[in-house]
Amino acid sequence: MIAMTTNPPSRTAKTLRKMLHHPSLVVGVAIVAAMILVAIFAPLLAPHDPYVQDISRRAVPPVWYEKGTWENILGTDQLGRDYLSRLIYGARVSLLIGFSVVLISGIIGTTLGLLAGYFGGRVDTLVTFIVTVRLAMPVILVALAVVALFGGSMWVVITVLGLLKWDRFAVVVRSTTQQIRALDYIASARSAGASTFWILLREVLPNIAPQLIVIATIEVASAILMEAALSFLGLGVQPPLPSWGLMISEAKSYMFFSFWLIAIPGTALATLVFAINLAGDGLRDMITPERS
Amino acid sequence: MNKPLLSVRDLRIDLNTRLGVLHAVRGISFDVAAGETLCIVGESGCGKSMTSLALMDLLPRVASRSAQGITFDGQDLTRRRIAGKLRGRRMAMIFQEPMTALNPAFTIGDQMVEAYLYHVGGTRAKAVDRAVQMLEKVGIGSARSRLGQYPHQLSGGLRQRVMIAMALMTDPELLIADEPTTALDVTIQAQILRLLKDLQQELGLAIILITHDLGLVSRIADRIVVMYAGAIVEEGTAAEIFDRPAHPYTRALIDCIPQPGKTERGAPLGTIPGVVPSLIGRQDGCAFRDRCALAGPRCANDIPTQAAGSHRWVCIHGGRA
Repeated sequence: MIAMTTNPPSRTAKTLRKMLHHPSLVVGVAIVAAMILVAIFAPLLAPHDPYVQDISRRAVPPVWYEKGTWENILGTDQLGRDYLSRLIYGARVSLLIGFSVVLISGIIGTTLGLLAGYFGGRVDTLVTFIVTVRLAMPVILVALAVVALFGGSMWVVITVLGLLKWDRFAVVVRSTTQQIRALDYIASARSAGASTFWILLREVLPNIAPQLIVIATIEVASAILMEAALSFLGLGVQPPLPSWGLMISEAKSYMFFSFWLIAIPGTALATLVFAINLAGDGLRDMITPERS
Repeated sequence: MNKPLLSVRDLRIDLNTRLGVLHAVRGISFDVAAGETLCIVGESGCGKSMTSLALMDLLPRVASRSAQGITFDGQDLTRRRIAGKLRGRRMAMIFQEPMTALNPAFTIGDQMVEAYLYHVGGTRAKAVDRAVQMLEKVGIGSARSRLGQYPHQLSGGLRQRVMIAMALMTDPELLIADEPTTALDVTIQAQILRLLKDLQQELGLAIILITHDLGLVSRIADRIVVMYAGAIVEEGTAAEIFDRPAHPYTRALIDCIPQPGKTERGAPLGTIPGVVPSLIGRQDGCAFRDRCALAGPRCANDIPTQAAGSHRWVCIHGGRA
C-alpha cells in the first residue's frame, strides 16, 4: 500500500476557491445577500418614513425624469409616500414571507417524504394519498377562503402558504429517500445497530441535502411570487404594510400615467427571484457529495 | 467441536412474491466455532446472501424468517432486544460494494467513531485513537490524516479496508463478509483476503465468508458449506470438500475452477449445464437432479443426509470421490 504523503489543502479553503469560480453562484448570493442586508437595516437605509403620506407631493417621478428630485430618488406613490423607502421596507416583507413559508413547508414536506420513502408500504400509500389530496387543492382558492375566515395579514399568508406548499418537498424527498434506502451504507448502519431515527437523520438526510437546498430555493422564490399574487388580489399583506406585490397592486390603476410605480417593484421582485434561483443552482453544484 | 460461537438450526426464509411464496432458504443448520472461517458457497440465488442478512436482521420487508434456533454465544438471536445488543458490537458485517457501503456525506473518521461511541462509549479522543489503530491494523498508511477524508477520495480497495476497520472498531467476535472482494480487482482481492486471514489469527475472529468463488475459498476456509437452491448440499472441512467432494454439485463447482498447469490453454472452462430451479413452492427430492449427470429416478424421492465424521452430504450417489 502506498502511503499518502502530502496533506491536501484544507477543505474549507478548497470549497471557498471553488465557490468563487462559480459566477452564477457569486452573482446570485451577492444579490440575495444585499437584499437581506437592506431588509435587516431598512430603518437605517430608508431616507423617509414609508408610511407618511403627503398629498401635495403625489406621484413625483424618479430622479432621472425631468420633474424628479433628489428628495425622492425613486419618486413617490399615489399617496405621496417615498417610493424608495417603501421598496426597502417591502424587501423585509417579501424575504420574511419567502423564508418563513419554506421553513414551515420544508419541515412538513421533508418529514412526510422521509417517512414515505424509508418505510414504504402503507406509510407510503398514506403519504402519497395526502400529497394527491393536497395537489388537488388550488392554493389561491384555499388562501381566499382562509383569508375570508381569518382576515388578511402577513402571518396568515405565511401560515397558509407554509401549510400548502410542502408537496414538492414531499415528492422529491420521498423518491430520493427510496433510492438511498437501498444502498449498502444504510444496511451497514443497520448492521451496526443504528436506530431508524438515527438512520433517517444522519444517513439519509445529509445525502438528500443537495436536492433539499435546490427545492428550498425554488420554493422561496415561488412563495415570494405567490405572496405578491395574493397581495395583488388583495388577499395577502394588507395596506399600509409595504409589500412588493401590494405596491404593484396599488399602482395598477396608475400604470399608464406613472409607469415607474409598477416597474420598480416589479423589477425588484424579478431580480430577487432570479438571484435566488441562481444561488440555488450554484449551491447545488457546491454541496453535492462527490461520488466517483 | 467445542461449543459453537454461532449456531443456526433449521433456518427458513420465505419471500412473498406475486407468483407465490418463494422459499429462499429451506431449513439450513450450521455452526461456527470461535476463531474459525466458515465459507458459504453457492451460485447466485442459492440463498447464501439471504442467510447472512438474516443473521444481522437485515432481511427485506417481504421476507419472513423462521428458525428452530439461532444462538450467538448461547444467547437467543431471534429475540430482537438481544440481537440489537449484539449486532454491531459482538458481530459485525461487511458488504460487497465498498463504493456504496460508506456514507458519502461524512468523513470516514466520523463514521468509524460514531458506531464506537454508540456501542462502547468513552471520549471522542479515545475513539479517534482506536480508529487510527484499526486503520493501521488493516494496512492503511498515514491513518490519522485518512480520518478526515471522504469516501470518494479513496479507492475501492482502500474503502474495503476502511469497511473492515470500521467493522473491527468494537472488537467483534464474529465478522460476516458478504462477497467482500467481488467488486475489487484481482490483485486487491488477494490483499484483502490475506488481510482477513491475518486479522483472524491476530484477533481470534470467527468469519463467515459468503462467496461464489471457490478459488477464493480454497485459500481461506477452515470449513465449507455448499448451498444449492436454498439448502445445504454438502458440508465439511476445506480438505474434505476439496480433496474428496461427495456431492455432484460440489464436484462440478470445483471443476469450474481453472487451474494453472492443469487447465489446457484454449480448452473451454468448466460449466454446469442447465439453470437453477425455481424456488417458488415445494421442492421434492434433489433440487440438482435436472442438471446432474448421475441423476436417476430415485433422486425424486427424499434424499437422506450421509455423513462421514464432520463431512456430510445430501446425495444418494457415489459418495466421496
